[in-house]
Amino acid sequence: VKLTNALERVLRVFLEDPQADRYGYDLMKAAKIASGTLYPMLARLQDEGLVNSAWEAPRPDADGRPPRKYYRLTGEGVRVARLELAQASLESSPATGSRRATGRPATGSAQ
Amino acid sequence: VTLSSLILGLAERMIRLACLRLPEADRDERYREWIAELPAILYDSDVRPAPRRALRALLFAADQHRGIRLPRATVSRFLDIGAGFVATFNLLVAFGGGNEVLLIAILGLLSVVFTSWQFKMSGRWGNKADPR
Repeated sequence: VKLTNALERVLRVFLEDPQADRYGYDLMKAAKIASGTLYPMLARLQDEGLVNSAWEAPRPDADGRPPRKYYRLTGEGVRVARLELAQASLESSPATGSRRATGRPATGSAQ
Repeated sequence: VTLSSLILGLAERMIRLACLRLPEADRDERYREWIAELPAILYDSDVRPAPRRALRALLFAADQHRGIRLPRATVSRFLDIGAGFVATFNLLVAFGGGNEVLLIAILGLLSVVFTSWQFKMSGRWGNKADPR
């Protein structure tokens, strides 16, 4: 996993509550990234086994709203996310040197 | 027809077009997922005023086009065909004997074939995998 700024923000959102299910728009809002960045990133995280997805069960109070797809970090995803973020924090701390180069903000992917 | 339904329809259409560029196996699921997000965006009470929500919904849909990458095999086929074009053009210039009309006619024909192929690849013609 190459940690870009966008991925870092998404992982932080997931780690706020690793047990919480998050849907796409929720993640977009919380991580402040665009849909064209988020979904390829989620797909890649899923391919790498770091994120699980599941469709929302039909609800009678949904008022005609189509079911959403929810995402959640896997156990391995939580471990890798914590590790990567801890490493990123170390690299960005003044004692250990300057912040790493991560490319343009909000356009990175999970490649 | 309300503004919301109009925006919803437009965003749905953009998402449908974006999904046509996806591999057939992924289209339906992606379409359902992205369409399901639209009401959440359009009726998000945290975002005001309403035109801002509408703009967000449209941007959400439009940005899916950026997020979709063509499969590697398709890209390499595009590159192969592009290289074929350049080679054909060079041959025609070299051996065309100054017959510009023939040159233009052949290039025109090749352009039609290439454009048709692009449409076919994007699934707009006769493709039963339309996610609707």
